[in-house]
Amino acid sequence: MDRELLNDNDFLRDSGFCGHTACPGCGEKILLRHVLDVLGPETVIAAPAGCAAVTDGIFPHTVSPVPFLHTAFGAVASGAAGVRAGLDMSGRENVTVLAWAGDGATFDIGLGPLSAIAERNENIIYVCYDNEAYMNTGVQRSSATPSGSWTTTTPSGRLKSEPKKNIDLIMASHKIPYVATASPAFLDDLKMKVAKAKRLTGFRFLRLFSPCPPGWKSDPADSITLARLAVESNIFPLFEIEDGERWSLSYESSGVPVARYLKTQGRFRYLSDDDMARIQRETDRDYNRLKSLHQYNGYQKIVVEEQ
Amino acid sequence: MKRVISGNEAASLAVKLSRVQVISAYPITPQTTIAEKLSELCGSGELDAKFVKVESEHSAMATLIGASSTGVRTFTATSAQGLALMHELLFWASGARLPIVLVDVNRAMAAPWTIWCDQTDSLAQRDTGFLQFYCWSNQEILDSVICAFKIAEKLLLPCMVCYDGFYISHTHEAVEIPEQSDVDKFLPPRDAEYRLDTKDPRTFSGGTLPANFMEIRYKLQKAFEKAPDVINTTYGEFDKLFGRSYSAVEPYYTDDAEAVLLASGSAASTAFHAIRKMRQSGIKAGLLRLRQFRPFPEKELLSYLKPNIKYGVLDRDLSPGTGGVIAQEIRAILNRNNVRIDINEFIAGLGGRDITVDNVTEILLKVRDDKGDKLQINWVGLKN
Amino acid sequence: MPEMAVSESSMDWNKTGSWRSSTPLHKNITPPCNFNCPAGENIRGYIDLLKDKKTKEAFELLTEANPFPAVCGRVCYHPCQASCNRSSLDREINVRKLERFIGDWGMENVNKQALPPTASKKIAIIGAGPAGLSAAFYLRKQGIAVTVYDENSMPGGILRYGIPSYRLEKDVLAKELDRVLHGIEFKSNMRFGSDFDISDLLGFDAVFLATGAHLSKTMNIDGENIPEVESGLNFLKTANSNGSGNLKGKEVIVVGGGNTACDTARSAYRFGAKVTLVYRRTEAQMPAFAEEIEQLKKEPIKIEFLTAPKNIRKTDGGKLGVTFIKMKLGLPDSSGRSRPVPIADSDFEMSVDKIFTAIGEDPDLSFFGNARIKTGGEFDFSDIDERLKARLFVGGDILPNPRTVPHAVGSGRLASEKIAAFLKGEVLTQSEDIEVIAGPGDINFDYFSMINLTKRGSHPAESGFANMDEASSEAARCFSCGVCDHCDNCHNFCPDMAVIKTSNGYHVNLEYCKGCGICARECPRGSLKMDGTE
Repeated sequence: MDRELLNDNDFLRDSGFCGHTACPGCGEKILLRHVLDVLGPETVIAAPAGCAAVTDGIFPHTVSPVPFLHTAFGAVASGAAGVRAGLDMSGRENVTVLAWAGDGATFDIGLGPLSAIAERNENIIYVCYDNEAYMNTGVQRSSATPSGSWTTTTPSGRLKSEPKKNIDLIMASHKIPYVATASPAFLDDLKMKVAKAKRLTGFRFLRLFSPCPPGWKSDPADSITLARLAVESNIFPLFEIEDGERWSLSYESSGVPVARYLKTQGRFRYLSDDDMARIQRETDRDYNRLKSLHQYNGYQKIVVEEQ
Repeated sequence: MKRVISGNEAASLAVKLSRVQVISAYPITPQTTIAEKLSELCGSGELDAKFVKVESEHSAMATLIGASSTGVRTFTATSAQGLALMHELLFWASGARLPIVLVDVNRAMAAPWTIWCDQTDSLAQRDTGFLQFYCWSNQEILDSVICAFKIAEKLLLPCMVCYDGFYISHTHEAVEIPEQSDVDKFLPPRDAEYRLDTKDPRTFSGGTLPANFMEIRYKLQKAFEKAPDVINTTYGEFDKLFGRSYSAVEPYYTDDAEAVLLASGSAASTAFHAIRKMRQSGIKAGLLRLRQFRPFPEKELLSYLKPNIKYGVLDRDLSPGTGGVIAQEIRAILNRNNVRIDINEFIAGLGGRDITVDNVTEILLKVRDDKGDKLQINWVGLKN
Repeated sequence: MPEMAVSESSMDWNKTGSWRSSTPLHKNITPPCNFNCPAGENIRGYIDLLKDKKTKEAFELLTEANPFPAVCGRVCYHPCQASCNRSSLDREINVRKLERFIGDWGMENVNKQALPPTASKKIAIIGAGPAGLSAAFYLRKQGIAVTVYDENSMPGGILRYGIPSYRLEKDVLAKELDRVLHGIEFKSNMRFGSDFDISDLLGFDAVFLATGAHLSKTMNIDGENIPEVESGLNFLKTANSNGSGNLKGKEVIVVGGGNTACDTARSAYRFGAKVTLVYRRTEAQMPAFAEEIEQLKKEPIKIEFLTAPKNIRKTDGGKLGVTFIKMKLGLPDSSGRSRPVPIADSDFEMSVDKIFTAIGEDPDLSFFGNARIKTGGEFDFSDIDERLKARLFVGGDILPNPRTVPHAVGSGRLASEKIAAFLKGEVLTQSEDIEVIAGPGDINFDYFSMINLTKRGSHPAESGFANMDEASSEAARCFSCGVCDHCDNCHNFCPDMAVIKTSNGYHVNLEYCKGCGICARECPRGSLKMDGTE
């Protein structure tokens, strides 16, 4: 590559982030490069089986500009905790540990260990890039798959009927310092949240919206447009929860009808107008609830004085 | 300094003496007292390690894989169901060439529920790429754990130190506790060639195509082939510093024996006493104690196994549909080396059933008087 | 290979560009405002500078195409606004006010611009209107000596003598002319053909003829030559020269539907007249600019559509008796507009004090004797002196272009370029590329619809912006249609980091670009497209 060219992601570019094998229009790679841009080179990644793992590179090659530990599918949370322990025990407390996992590893197979490291308030930033199904294995439903969605294991006639698991509430229930959602279509907000997470210590959970053209049966060019519509339609509201109790909405959406978001994706092609109306009602209900929690101030943090 | 301590305490003290930096474990009987003792040592500051209190054994091993990848020394202990829950990650630890040391306090696998001893749990992990050592005394536990770190770090292979639940783990014996300074001389801090390092960013265990996977596995096998030399050198250094020597196979009364029993763990210890008594009665019985199961000590065993002697193998384990695991492994090396020796196979002591001096005597007499029913699996002390 | 599965190198050998089936291409296309500006202004460019409050730079950029921003900020009909893509969202950018803001800034802050010394080349320009002065301004900037002749005593042409002062304040014009004429020799009261002739021009290297169109068309009806029947243009000139023309209480008819008719009617009203405008077609066919018609309709002026005078005569009381006939629309004529057809027996009478005719103007080429305008607007100069013909350039309202100030300005600047080339012995070549215009389909409205929405509807006729903040916030509404404004979207949204920022824009690394198309989809302004070819 031409080293003379200017770039704001110097350490990323110098490491050769190009050449990864993610599908065209992959949301995860957009997220990764911007998260790393904020976290900087003093970062270690732990990632389980998933799209991020298989697209990073092929042994003995990698696109990762920072140390990258592959872990077993359900093992990323504990693996990250181990990395944290090892770095701390070798005088590297300043290095950020970034767990980088998809929704399958987060909502499903890795939920137990995730809950454990959250409960232990491990000093880790955990990012779930949420593409709402097992995409790497070829689009099977996960508990992050929204209702009404087609996957290979929820085919037409048996579309997923259960709602998406509310992982953010689960994580907030651990009273960890920081839970936030962010979208690649709102990069300023995303980068601000990553920077905020970096400033905090303890367990920080970020769920990032990760469009997946092959899995969602959407045009690769639409990835960012979809991410924006998801936020604007309140399907994926942007918010923060501090100390498990202090909620704040990051962005007042324009309330685009959910149908505009749903109709852009093949995975929702079996939905009738009635289905979409139902999803609209559910989305409105959930968003109104979120708004009611916005800046709820009843919570008081109890600080224990160091002796 | 000698102290009377339990097997689990011996393991814990060895961990402390080895200056382990990250520990992760989950409670399970009969291992639990190791986790308790190590928590105590970390809490008091006697051991400067981070004890990651995980929610499962799967996570314990996952934690150590993460920690070990940063270049620090790591330890865990478990038993039976816990070891089985780790199974996936045992492969990962060896495939990633991480020198993690694991103590397995042997316990039978459920179902039905049992907390009592047999060795099926660890023997069933024979293909995971862990070195496996089996101890018969508390002193040996302490020494083996210290040696295991040195061997593991030289070979970049994970090590499993096994001993029988309750029979050894909860039995108190006098144990010589070495000085920390001597252990430090023997076991320097770990020096990892590759570690998660922001100054030298690398990706660990990334996706590997058929073009390279076999070579990675070949290197793993080569490390196991190199292991006997490394192990013996380590034992030699240990002997020089501490005056206690070990080997993969230990023979007792075998030179003139008519019948020899192969056994490991606490059963070998019982057999040792039974054979001493038989010798007093003029019965020429002998014992080959198997201290090491991976790598399987082929060379050493072949040097002891003689065609004019009759052998029995005592398996405190069962591979259903085949029989005793150790018997299978011995038959395999004999066959591979074209050695014609008949093996009598005995299944005993499953799920904590005691293996008594009488049992051993009965077995050895049966071996001596064998008339050619070698293929039959002998179940010792089975009720009708 | 290392003992364990650790990476040893990057993936840069994996040229994922081979996956690509279409290719992003950064290519600016023409913003509709720029395309539609008759003066050729880079409107998007100066609005972009105003966003950042760079008024000086905006002034410099604007005056590269038009030396009269304060004038045009008031009198231009701003086709840029009519074509603004933002009108698809809320309301077009108020370019008029922005241009006026820049022009007013120039009047306050720019006096005499530094000029290069003149070299040996000399140019004569006949006509000190917007076309002649534009040509003069740009030639002088290049170090060419310029002499401007005009039959009037003051420079400005139609700006001074045609446009009423309520549309263009005299002091604004004076200040702007002062700046434009800096370094230029102006010879007043010099009518070509009477005060000087061809022989006076032979000492010049080139001559630019920009005498405008001042001959009012005649109605060809009886009574047209009665003194109280006057051309609107003449009335405007007199009114603008000395402010005379007291029409208090007089009943006045203005005939015509163009800009001159509107200006005449509105001026007459301001001089106290009771005005009726008669036009033989309907409002939809009026050739005047929409905003002129809007303004006209707001005034207490009576408008009679589908009406034409049939004859005029002087009555006993000194008044004019006018017979009108009502019209209806028939089949289209050569202009494409429906031809007005008289309705039999629809005559009616009116008694008025004065009639102003404003049914169109022609250039006055009498100084060339046999010169004439051929069908289609070209000139037949075959009979004029060969020595002049060889160095003669023509522009402004003489040409068959729409006769507007910005057209005249653009025509003058183009003439300056042609002349400059001619002086070097070259012929100005114009690009024959088909210009691609950024339409609403090129705009990603998502980037604009959520923010800064303005109430729909047309801009009211206002004065200027009160301050820089107002101007820059209006400028910030601009989409920058078709022109990259370095928003970084293409760079930021690339999953493959294949769109690289460079010191002068972006570079697509085709070795790795997978052709997903996010960059083009997220380009807010259509300056990046999936081209499909390489």
